[in-house]
Amino acid sequence: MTRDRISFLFINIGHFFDHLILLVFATVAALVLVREWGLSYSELIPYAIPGLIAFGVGALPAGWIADKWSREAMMVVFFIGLGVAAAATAFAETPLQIGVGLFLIGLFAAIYHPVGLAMVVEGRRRTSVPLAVNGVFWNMGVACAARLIDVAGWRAAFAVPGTVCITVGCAYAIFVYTGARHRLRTTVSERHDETVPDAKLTISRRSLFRVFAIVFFTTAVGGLIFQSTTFALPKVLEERLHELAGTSTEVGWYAFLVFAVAALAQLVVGYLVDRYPLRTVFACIAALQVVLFALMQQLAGAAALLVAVCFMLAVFGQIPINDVLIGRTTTSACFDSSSRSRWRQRRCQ
Amino acid sequence: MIAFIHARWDFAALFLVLSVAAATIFVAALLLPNTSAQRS
Repeated sequence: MTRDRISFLFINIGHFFDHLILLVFATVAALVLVREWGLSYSELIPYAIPGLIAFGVGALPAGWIADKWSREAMMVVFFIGLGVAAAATAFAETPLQIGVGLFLIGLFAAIYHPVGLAMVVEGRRRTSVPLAVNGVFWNMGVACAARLIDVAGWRAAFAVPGTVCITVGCAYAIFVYTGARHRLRTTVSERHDETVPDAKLTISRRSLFRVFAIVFFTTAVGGLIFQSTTFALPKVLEERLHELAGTSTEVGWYAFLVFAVAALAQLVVGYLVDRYPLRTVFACIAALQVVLFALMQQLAGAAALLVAVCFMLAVFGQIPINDVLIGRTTTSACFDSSSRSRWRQRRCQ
Repeated sequence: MIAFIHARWDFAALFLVLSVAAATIFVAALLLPNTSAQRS
């Protein structure tokens, strides 16, 4: 296995832990803490808010530091910081303590997307499939979060992935330390040479602003849909699958099943956007979501499970579209005829 | 938002909100330029 592939594997594993640890609480709160701590679902969920805000806002300084310092070093910080925060959260005795733990988890988890995703697309000619493969890893992380508490209890659901995450971080630090010079000399310089011709798009400045506005809007609203569905799904299944799932273990299994099947959507959509007009694929995915969410309102039992699988397919399928749209648009901005200065090219690399 | 909606109504209301949100994304997607025709 080449160093590039090993690096790609580490980055994918990072995406797995990023979403696994971030979503443990959603399942824990829905299925276990409601009983153990005697609080309602709506009373527990607000303790996740500081962490979710940190997850979003923290991406800005994380990306800035990575550009100034080192993406690889920031990934080491991500693995070890996230692992320590998760392991510490396992010792929480009160909702406030778990809120502090979730804040730290959100803070370190925020490092992944601006740093890890940049490393996935760095210098690649076709980015859709690598992004889709990377996306499958976080889907599996989400799926495992739903399963983990049934296997070992809610404290272990934080402690076990936290410990493994620290171990992976140490392994990645050794990998980076032993091969940093080699990678800098070979892959980066070669990759950029082959990227430029294929990535060149011709979009007028006016269209570019329109695309940026649409990307901003769809990413924001898509994020709302994504967070709501992934966070609420375990509780939705608990309420709607009375006939099929009587225990939290069974609910966990169904949530795992839904997320795992939906993970395939990223591969399919990644394949489609490389071959068909992005607008067509995007519109179809959005239309599917409209219909499926409307259908889900009053459904229960097996029909609800089936529709849940379908809408999670559509929700996860939208993620590579946003990534590709941002990638194509920013590449276009970088290599537009009016912006060929070395400064602009350097900024976009 | 999930806590707010779940406390006052139920998940049916959440899915209604999500359906409307997805409809706005559908409209936004239709406003995108056709990227396949713009490759040089």
